[in-house]
Amino acid sequence: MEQLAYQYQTSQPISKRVHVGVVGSGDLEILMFPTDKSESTVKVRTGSDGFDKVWGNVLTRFFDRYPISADIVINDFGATPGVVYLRLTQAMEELADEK
Amino acid sequence: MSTAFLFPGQGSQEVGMLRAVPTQYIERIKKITGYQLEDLPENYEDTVFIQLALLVKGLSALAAVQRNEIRPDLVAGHSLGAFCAAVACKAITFDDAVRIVYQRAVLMKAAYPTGYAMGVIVGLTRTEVAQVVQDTFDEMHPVYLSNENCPLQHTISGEITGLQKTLAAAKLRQARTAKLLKVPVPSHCRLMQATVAALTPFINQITFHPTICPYLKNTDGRMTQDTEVIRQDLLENIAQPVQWNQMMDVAKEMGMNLTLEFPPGNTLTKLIHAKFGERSIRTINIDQHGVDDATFLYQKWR
Amino acid sequence: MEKPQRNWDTKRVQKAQRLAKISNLMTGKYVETNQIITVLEALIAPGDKVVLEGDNQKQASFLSQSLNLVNPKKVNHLHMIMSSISRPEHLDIFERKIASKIDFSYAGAQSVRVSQMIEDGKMKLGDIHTYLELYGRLFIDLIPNVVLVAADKADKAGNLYTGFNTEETPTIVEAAAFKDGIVIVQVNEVVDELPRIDIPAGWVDVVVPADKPYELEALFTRDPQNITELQILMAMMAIKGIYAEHGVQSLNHGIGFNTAAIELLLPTYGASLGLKGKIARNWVLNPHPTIIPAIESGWVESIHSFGGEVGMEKYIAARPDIFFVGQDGTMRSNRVLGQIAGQYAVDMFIGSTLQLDYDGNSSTVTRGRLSGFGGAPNMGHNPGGRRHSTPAWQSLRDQDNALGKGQKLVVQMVETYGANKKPIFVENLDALAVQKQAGLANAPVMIYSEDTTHIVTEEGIAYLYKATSKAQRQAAIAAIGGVTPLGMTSTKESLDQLRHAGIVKLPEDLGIKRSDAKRSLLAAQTIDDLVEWSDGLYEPPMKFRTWS
Repeated sequence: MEQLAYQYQTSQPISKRVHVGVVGSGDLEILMFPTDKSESTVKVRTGSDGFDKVWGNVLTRFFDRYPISADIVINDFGATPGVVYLRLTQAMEELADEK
Repeated sequence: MSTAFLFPGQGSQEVGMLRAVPTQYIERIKKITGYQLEDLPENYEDTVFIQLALLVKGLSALAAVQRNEIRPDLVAGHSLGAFCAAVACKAITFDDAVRIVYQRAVLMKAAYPTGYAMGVIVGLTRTEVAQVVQDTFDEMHPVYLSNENCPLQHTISGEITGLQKTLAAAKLRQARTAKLLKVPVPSHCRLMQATVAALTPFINQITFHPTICPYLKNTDGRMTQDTEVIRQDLLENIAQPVQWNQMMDVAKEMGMNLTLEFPPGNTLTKLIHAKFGERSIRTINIDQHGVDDATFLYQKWR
Repeated sequence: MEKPQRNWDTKRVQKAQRLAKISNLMTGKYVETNQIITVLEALIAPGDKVVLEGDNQKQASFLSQSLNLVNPKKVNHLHMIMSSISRPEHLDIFERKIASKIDFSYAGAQSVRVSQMIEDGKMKLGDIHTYLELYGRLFIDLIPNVVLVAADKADKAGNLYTGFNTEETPTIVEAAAFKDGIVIVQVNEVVDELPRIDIPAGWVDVVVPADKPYELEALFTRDPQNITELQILMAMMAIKGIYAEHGVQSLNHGIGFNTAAIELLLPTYGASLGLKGKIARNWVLNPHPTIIPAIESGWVESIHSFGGEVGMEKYIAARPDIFFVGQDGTMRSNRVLGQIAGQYAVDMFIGSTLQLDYDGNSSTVTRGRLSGFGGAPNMGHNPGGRRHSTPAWQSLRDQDNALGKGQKLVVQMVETYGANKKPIFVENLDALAVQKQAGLANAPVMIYSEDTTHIVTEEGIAYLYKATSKAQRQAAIAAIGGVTPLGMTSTKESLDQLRHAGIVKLPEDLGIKRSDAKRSLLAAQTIDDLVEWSDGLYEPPMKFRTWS
């Protein structure tokens, strides 16, 4: 089990809580909470050790394109980076829906 | 239905595993080798004990299975388990297996009494592990890439501080698991070459018999019924990586759809699941089910 | 005019001599089941070129098992020619020194042992081919002396019915029948009257009833339950960004979950885009059960199949407007014609692969395995000989070239990370190592970069045919490479440039919402759903049934 933590300087606060993804092998759950800071924190709980750098890459790309400010918790169950990015962008779409 | 008998090797032993083995086997070992097997925790650090104990644990279960008239279509033993496999396909007798394993273990222990071991790395390809081994290599604490258990599981063998350094480096390169194994000698790498030479005259004295089914070779994953080829494999597997991944590939191509794993443990069953998924090959584990239930399942699925 | 004296019918004479040896065993063209070994020993000579069927689906298993039992002193050094090395006994004949050389196309089910035996010198490799190349050589320099094939039924005269699983049998038989080769057929059943004649008795020499029906495996059934959301997203992109964009009318789907997802999204997502009747009308396709909803919903005009698929027989018999069904009511498949159609007569091939290099060359071989090519390179290349124009083919034309012409769409669909969490993009294909290991003339590349027109990953589509340089091609692939080492070389500037030029499109550029990629979008989510779509006509094989 690993707990990874990341921080990004961002500019677009989210307006509501978001929950995407599923608890299941090969998948992950993402919970986003609004924050009043101009930064995002990400906590990743994962059973797949050693993917620190890969998580960093995926999150950096995500925040590059979508600089949202939120406190984010991710529960990972062995998802590939493609699935992680899918869920992150799905979270974005959920946010965009109600704007 | 094509059934493969699978026999595990060093690393699978567990304290207390000899309690279920009938005493006549312990007595027979003593009669043939002079060695008294005693299931005490301190003995589990000694490769002579480990190898003889594993051998007798596997072969006593084999005898029970044979009494229930279950025969293998293929046999495969991992490292020390190859000797059980050789008995299972009738290439060598129980007694000869005991003789040669005792010799093998005594020679291995003499070559590396302490300070050497094996480790396992999960989650990296063989190329990635080879790179880590190369990058951390230190003549004073040598470590070599050894067994290929499945595409993302490989072992390393060598000197303990070297192993620890290589395992730590593997973790940094995104290995899911990197830890030492309960194997107190650096099997399956060039460090054991001298032991192979020393064991040669002993194994050449053993009589080999025509086999009842094919045997899967540790050293190159080929299938064979040639007894001289089996002899060489049993000898050379000490210093050659076990090609378990290839062995299982060939077994599947031969139509293996049921595996019967002999005790102790369930390492080889887990490798079948890791490699082939949980549905394409039925697995029976004797440690888990016991001989009677294993027999029942075998007959039901057959 | 001086010319050397020679006889011009030596093969005919030799054939007659061989058949004369077993004339006492024959009743018409028939020999008894238990005489097969004697028959094989009499009719096959050392060094013969022998085709053993070895199709993708159908296996002449009685004949291959019997071949293993001949006396190697009488029958040896055979040069085997096989479409598909499928069963262990196909290789046992080499261990027993009955055969020594092989030319083949596909060996997926025996790829490790094939690799070992070539390395050990137990089997000498002629070469590895695509299906069409191998069939072609049967008429050039691999003309068989003996062919060992399987049929469902034969009548008393020796006419054959191969039915649903006809595959390439007629072509294999033709190569022998018209060159004084010997045709030996195992049949499941002997009947008074055949449903129809697939191969006439005049082409056949010996018929033997087999001890049991020939082996047949379900190879093209994919359980919709195993389709992931990522695959659905990629399928949506393919439908909108490629099928609709180029107006793809005719196509071949390689087997896989990615293409199964596309098949199951046509009736739902495809319909929502108003595409019914506009795309994907004419197919060359093995009978994938996952195509059933699209057929039932009216998307499909026609399907020609290379072979059959276990469980689809009744469904196909009930849909003669769609499939190629004989007057007797059963389908006739034909791999040779299907491969030709797939090469020349369709707009697009789309499939998956295991490895792509940074230029877009793809391969499915891994170290220690020699799986061969099968039909993928036939489908997955741009045939230089094509002349006729269709809208999709023409849409890829280089407009600046006066002598330009269209191009076949060849699409690779891959996730950036494989199931083992390793990147799909590699610097060097394993194929290079396999070339060395097996002593091959060339690296066994499945589909070359220059033939690949599009790559789809979960990140987006790279329209490679629009790239004007090798560097731009690589950049386009990197732009959809996710966080793989290749993908990390792509910058935001590069991506924006490529998007601006229309060379890369992300889901948002295609107007696709990732959260729409849900399993509920599939027209069928389980095997049971497929059965329901087919009005109960589809009969899934045992291993796919959920109620056993």
